[in-house]
Amino acid sequence: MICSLRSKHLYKTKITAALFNERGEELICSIYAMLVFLMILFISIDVIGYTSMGYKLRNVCSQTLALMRMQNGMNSALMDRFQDCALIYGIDISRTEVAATPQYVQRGEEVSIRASTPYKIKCMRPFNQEFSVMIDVEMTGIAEDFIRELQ
Amino acid sequence: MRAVIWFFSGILLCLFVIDMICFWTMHEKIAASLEIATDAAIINSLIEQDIFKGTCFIDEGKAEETVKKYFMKNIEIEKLQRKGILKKTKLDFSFSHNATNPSIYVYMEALMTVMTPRLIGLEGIPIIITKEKCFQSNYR
Repeated sequence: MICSLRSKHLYKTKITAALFNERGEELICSIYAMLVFLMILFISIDVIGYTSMGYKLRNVCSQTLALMRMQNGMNSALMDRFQDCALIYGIDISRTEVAATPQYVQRGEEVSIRASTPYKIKCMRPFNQEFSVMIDVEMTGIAEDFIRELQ
Repeated sequence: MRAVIWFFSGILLCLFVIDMICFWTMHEKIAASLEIATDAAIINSLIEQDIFKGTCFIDEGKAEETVKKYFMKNIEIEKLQRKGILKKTKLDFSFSHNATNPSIYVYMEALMTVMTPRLIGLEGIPIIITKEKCFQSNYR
């Protein structure tokens, strides 16, 4: 009788000890924390890449638009300039589509530029999936130069 | 318990970083589109006949209309308001009428709704941007 009671007590204490023992918590915690941390890191890299690519494309477009406003529209020299600028920023030119108002428009009329480039999302690579999202930028301004011949 | 605290603090940090990125990109976007809009206003509000004579004055109504039109067009304000990102957008103008170099001064104020201020009970972060644009007439 005494022996069985003692064994019961021992059994209970072992369960409670296993439940409330904090040994090895660091190991389990660190593994899960690493998993969560890596997931957040993977997603945040893509978020930052997407926003920075959009920011770069906006910058290139606004610079080209400033030149377009002065020259009353887009020509081949400005297109070359756009591509040079995009290369410096690290944008893939072969996949970038640009549509802009051609020369010449009169002073006070709209000139606009529209550019779109794909961005590859890399955080789904562990699941063997890769897809791309389009970044669209559109800007509109007003031509500045007055051209007499167009009147 | 420690794991939970670490997890929540990590989420808070992530939210804060995402908010900062959103705020920074929105600030840049607003500043760029406001610059284009003020440029357009200067071009549209001056009368060409006056520039030929060497004097130029700003048509205030036309300038305000142009700034609003091109600012809204470039920032895609409909999309932002539909998503509820930008609220209480306010544009103030002041003009200086000088015969040779008139200028437009634009003050823009808006409330951007992001995640972290909502935890404290605030509605959003205020964005304030000012822009001044001058026109220098060259009469030869």
